[in-house]
Amino acid sequence: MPDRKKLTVSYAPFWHDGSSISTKQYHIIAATMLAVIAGLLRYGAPALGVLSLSVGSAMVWEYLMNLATRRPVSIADGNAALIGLLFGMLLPAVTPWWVVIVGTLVAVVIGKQIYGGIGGNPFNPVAVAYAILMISWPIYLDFNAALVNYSFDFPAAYPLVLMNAYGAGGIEAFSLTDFLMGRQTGGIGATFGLGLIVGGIYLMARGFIRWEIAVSFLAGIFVSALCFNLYDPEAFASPGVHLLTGFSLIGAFFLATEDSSSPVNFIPMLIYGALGGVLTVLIRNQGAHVDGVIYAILIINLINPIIDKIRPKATGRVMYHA
Amino acid sequence: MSDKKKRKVAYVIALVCLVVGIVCYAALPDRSQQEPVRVYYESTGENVLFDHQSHSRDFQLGCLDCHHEIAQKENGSHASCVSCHTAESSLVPALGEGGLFDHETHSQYYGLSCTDCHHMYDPESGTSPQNCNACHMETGDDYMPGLADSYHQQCIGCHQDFGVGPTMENCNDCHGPRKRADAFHDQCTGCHEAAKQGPVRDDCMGCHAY
Ligand code: HEC
Ligand code: HEC
Ligand code: HEC
Ligand code: HEC
Ligand code: HEC
Ligand code: HEC
Ligand code: HEC
Ligand code: HEC
Repeated sequence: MPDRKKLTVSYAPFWHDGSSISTKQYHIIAATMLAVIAGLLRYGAPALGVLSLSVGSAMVWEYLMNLATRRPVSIADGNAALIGLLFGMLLPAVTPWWVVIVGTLVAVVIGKQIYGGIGGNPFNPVAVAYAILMISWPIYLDFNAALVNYSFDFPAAYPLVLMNAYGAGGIEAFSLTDFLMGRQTGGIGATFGLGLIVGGIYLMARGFIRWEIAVSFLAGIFVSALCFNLYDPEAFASPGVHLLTGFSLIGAFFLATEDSSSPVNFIPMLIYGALGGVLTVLIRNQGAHVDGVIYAILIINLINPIIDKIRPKATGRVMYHA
Repeated sequence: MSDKKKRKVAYVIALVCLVVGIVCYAALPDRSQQEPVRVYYESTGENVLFDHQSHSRDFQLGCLDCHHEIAQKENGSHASCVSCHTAESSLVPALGEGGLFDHETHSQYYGLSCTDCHHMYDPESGTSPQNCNACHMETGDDYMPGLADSYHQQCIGCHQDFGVGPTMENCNDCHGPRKRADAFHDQCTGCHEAAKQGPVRDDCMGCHAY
C-alpha cells in the first residue's frame, strides 16, 4: 500500500494570487510607504534610525538562521525585511537600539524561523515580538515616555492613554481629521491613518491581502466600539476614534492579514477578523492595557486553526479501498 | 533577475539599512542638559507627564518660580529636582537636603541635646560624636541592638515620648519617597492653587494618568 501520509495537503480552497512570495512581500512593503514617509517627516532622523536598524537587523537574523539551519538563504524573498519594517513602524521614534535588535531577533527567530520559516508560523511574528517586548520593557514602548523631547502642535499625550484615563472627554482636543492626518503621537508608521488606509485598499484591490479579514477586523472594532459608546458616551470614545487611533489600522491591514497565521476560508476569515476587532475594543475599554490590537491578534492567531475548520462540506466522500 | 542576483541586492539592502541605522543612532543629540520639552515620571500611582515647555513658554512662568533659589545657587544651573529631593538613599530617605536624616533641624531647632541621641558620647571629652554605625553593626546581639533596631528604638522612642514626628504607625514618613513626591506635590499644586489654574492637590487624575 502506498504511504498515504507522504503528501498531506490542507483542505481546499487554496488561494493563489498569481504572484510569487517575494512579489507579494514587495507590494506590501510598497503599501506601507505613505505611512512610513509621514512618520519620517514627523520624527526625523531618530525614526529613520529605528526603521533602518529594524529592517537591517531582521534581515541579518534571517540570514544567520538560514546558516544555522542549513537552508537556502531566503533574505531575498522580502519577508524578513517586511517583518523588520512592520515591527519598526509600531515602535516609538526614540527606541534604544538594543530594544530594536532584540525585537527583530524575537520576531524572526521565535516568531518565524523556529517553525520552519515562512508559511509555518502559527502567530504573527511581529505581534509576537511586540508583545514580548511590551511585557519585558514596557517603558521603552511607552509613547508618552519615549517622545518627551518632541514638541508637537497637537496634544502630546498618546490618545489611547488619554481615553483610558479620562474617557471620551480626554480626547476632545483631537478631531477625526487629526487622527486621519497623523496629528497624534504613536508608532512611527502607525499614526498616519489616511496613508494606511490607502495602502490597505491597494493591497486588497490587488489581492495581496484578504479583504475579508481586514474589513471584518475594522467592522469588529466599529460595531463593538459603537456598543460601548451608546452604552456610555462619556466613558467610551466613539467608534471612529477607535478605528483611527493606536494600532487599529496597521493591525487590520498589515498584521491580522499575515498569511500563515490567518484562515483561508470565507466564513472563518470573517469570524477571525471580526473577533480580532471586538477583542481589541474589549481590551482597550475594559482591560488594563492601553491598546488591545497586539494581544487581540495573538488571540485570533491562537484560535485560527479551530475556526478554519468551519468550511463547506465536501461533496462525495473519501474511499480508502477503492 | 536571477536568484543569485536578487540575493546580492538583498545583501546590499541589509547592509545599507544597518549603516543608515547606526549613523542615525550615533548622530542622536544628547539632550540631558537641555531644557526639556516634557518630563515623564514613572510613579507608583499612575505616571505623570509634565509639560515643561508649555509651563515655561505658554503659561509664561519664570524659571525661578520652580527652579527655586537654593537649587539655583548650589549648582548654578537648573538642576534636576531629583538630584536633591531623592527617594532612595541608604539612610532615612525622609528628611532634609538630599533626603537624609535632618541632623541640623533635630539638633538645633528641636531643643535636643547631643547626648539625647549620642548616648555614649561625653561632651566633656573634647571629641565629637560618632556615627551610630561605628558601634552598631548590621546585625545585633543580646547586648547590643543592630543598626536598624537602634535607630528605630531611639528615633521612635523619643517621638512617642514627645508625641511628635513619625512613629511605628507611619513607617512611610521616614521610609517612603515622601520628600521627593512632596517636592513635586507642594510645588506643582501649590502654584496651581495660587494661580487657580491647573490641577489642584485633590485632583490626582489631573496629573497621574499617563
Ligand atoms: C512649572 C515649573 C517649571 C518652570 C517654570 C521651569 N522649569 Fe525647568 N524643570 C521643572 C521640572 C519639574 C523639571 C524636572 C526636573 C526633575 O524631574 O528632576 C525641570 C527640568 C529642567 C531642566 C533639566 C534638568 C535636568 O538635569 O534634568 C532644565 C535644563 C530646565 N528645567 C530649565 C528651565 C529653564 C531654563 C526654565 C525657564 C525658561 C525653566 N526650566 C522653567 C520645572 C520648571
Ligand atoms: C541643589 C539642590 C536642590 C534642587 C536641585 C532642588 N531643590 Fe528643592 N529644596 C532644596 C533644599 C535644600 C530645600 C530646603 C530649604 C528650603 O526650605 O528652602 C528645598 C525645598 C523645596 C521645597 C519646600 C520649600 C518651599 O519652597 O516650599 C519644595 C516644594 C521644593 N524644594 C521643590 C523643588 C522642585 C520642584 C525642584 C525642581 C524643579 C527642586 N526643589 C530642586 C534643594 C534643592
Ligand atoms: C535626634 C538625635 C540626634 C541629636 C539630638 C544629635 N545627633 Fe548627631 N547624629 C545623630 C544620628 C542618627 C547620626 C548618624 C547619622 C548618620 O549615620 O548619617 C549622628 C551623627 C553625628 C555625627 C557624625 C557625623 C559623621 O559623619 O561622622 C556628629 C559629629 C554628630 N552627630 C554631632 C552631633 C552634635 C555635636 C550634637 C549636639 C549639638 C548632635 N549630634 C545631636 C543623631 C543626633
Ligand atoms: C561608641 C559606641 C556607640 C555608638 C557610637 C552608639 N552606640 Fe548605641 N549602644 C552602644 C552600646 C555598647 C550599647 C549597649 C549598652 C547600652 O545599653 O548602653 C548600645 C545600645 C543602644 C540602644 C539600646 C539602648 C537600650 O536602652 O536598650 C539604642 C537604642 C542605641 N544604642 C542607639 C544608638 C544610636 C541611635 C546611635 C547613634 C546616634 C548610637 N546608639 C551610637 C554603643 C554605641
Ligand atoms: C530626642 C528626641 C528625638 C529623637 C531621638 C529623634 N527625633 Fe525626630 N523629632 C523629634 C522632635 C521634637 C520632632 C519635631 C516634630 C515637630 O516639630 O513637628 C521630630 C520630628 C521628626 C520628623 C518629622 C519632621 C517633619 O518635618 O514632619 C521626622 C521624619 C523625624 N523626626 C525623624 C527622626 C529620625 C529618623 C530619628 C532617628 C535617627 C529621629 N527623628 C530621632 C525628636 C526626636
Ligand atoms: C523615625 C523614623 C523611622 C520610622 C517611623 C520607622 N523607621 Fe525603619 N528605619 C529608620 C532608620 C533611621 C533606619 C536605619 C537605616 C539604615 O540602616 O541606614 C531604619 C531601618 C529599617 C529597616 C532596615 C532597612 C535596611 O536597609 O536594613 C527596616 C526593615 C525598617 N526600618 C522597617 C520599618 C518599619 C516596618 C517601620 C514601621 C513599623 C519603620 N521602619 C518605621 C527610621 C524609621
Ligand atoms: C509656578 C506655577 C506653576 C507650577 C510650579 C506648576 N504649574 Fe502646572 N500649571 C500652571 C498654570 C498657570 C497652569 C494653567 C495654564 C492654563 O490652563 O492656561 C498649569 C496647568 C497645568 C496642567 C493642566 C494641563 C495643561 O497643560 O494645560 C497640568 C497637568 C500641570 N499644570 C501639571 C504640573 C505639574 C506636574 C507641575 C509640577 C512638576 C506643575 N504643573 C507645576 C502653573 C504652574
Ligand atoms: C499637579 C500634579 C499632581 C497632582 C494633582 C498629584 N500629583 Fe502625585 N505626583 C506628581 C509628580 C510630578 C510626582 C513625582 C513623581 C516622581 O517622584 O517621579 C508625584 C508623585 C506621587 C507619588 C509618589 C510616587 C512614587 O513612586 O514615588 C504618589 C504616591 C502620588 N504622587 C500620589 C498622588 C495622589 C494620591 C494625588 C491626589 C491626592 C496626587 N498624587 C496628586 C504630580 C501630581
